[in-house]
Amino acid sequence: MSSTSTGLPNLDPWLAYTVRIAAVTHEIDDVSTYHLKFTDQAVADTFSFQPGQFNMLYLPGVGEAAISISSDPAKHAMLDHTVRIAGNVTRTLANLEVGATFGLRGPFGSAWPVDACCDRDVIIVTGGIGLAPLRPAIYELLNRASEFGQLTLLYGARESAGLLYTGEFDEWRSRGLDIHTTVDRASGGWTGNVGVVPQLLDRLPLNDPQNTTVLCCGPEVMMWYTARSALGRGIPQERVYVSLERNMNCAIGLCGHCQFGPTFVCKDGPVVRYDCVADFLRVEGF
Amino acid sequence: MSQASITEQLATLNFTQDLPESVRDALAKIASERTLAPGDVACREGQSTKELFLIVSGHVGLDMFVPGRGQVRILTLRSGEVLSWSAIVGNHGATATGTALDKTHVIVFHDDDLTRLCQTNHHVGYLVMRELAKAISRRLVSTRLQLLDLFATEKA
Repeated sequence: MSSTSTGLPNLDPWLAYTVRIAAVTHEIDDVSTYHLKFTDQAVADTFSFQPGQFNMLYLPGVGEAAISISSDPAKHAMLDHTVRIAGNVTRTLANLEVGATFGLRGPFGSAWPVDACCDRDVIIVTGGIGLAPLRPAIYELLNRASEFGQLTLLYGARESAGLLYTGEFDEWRSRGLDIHTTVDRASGGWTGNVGVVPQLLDRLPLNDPQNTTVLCCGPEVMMWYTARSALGRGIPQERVYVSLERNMNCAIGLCGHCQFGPTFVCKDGPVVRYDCVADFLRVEGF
Repeated sequence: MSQASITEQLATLNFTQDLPESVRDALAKIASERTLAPGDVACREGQSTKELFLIVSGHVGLDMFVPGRGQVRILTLRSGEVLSWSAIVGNHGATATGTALDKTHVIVFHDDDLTRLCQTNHHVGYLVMRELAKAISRRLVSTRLQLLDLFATEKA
């Protein structure tokens, strides 16, 4: 399994803390980043998370939704969540104004194995909104860039309008991240690469596949083909990590809604080692 | 530009690097090098194509004409990938237009020369066609993934 959270939730996993929307950044159609602040400074001071973990956002009278944290773990002033409108909770959230408050439980789940990437090349492969749960990992990798080998981001979307955080790419590049983007369908004057994300990995020159780690998040079929490509390039399967998404309710492995084979995605995941779930990714209905 | 230069480049390209040296040498003997400037068209959809290209560096956009939408970019090719395989398989009619997106260096095989080599030396022919089949297979999988429209239903 991937590195597990230190991370039981900071205090009581059932306790929702009040957060206020400090700002909202519109990213792409139906996707915005909510910059949140705890109303209780004592909670703000003690709250910490690891890249890849998620929070349960609780909107009273509507429900809860599991949303990955998308901000820099080293910065505590603001807690970011990048959210696509996909259901009642996220739709209601999208209608809230700056200054509105709601509940937050967390952080939950396992984390990207950043420490285990030391002295290795790291390839981040992601598609669409899958970049959101990987952004904290990117921040941490770049914050500690001297500890790692080559850092590469392979990022794809359906169309160029679906690429997130493009305004940060120049800064990420300047700090050492080699970024390759692609789109499935060229539109709107896109002059960049056209093709699917796993193809980028097929083509990427690798310095030392045995000492390369792949962190992958996106649609499951994309992750499956990415893992297949990684293994085909000689990257050991125990160095390929994926982030799973399931219907998470309790977030602490009690309710069973997110069970995936022997794994509870909320507790054992969302970040898991590919070889631990590979057999189940191809099972219809899982 | 020399045969030795082509041989060296074939040893580094994804399409040919796994071939035996003797096969790469045989291929180098019938190959030439060319540099495409941005905007140069290597093959044009619907027209006969007589050359197979192996991209050494640079990028080539593959476009198909769609009535009502004009030229639609379907794929970007780069180093190590094959362009214009219709010269060898199919009926020589290019199924897409390949345009250099930047300064692009290619190794060129004329279909007559490559076909003759493959027919007279079946060992070379088998290995070349096997690599070509692998390339087509990879392209097919990528096309299937594009067809699946992976990001159409993604959720937060």
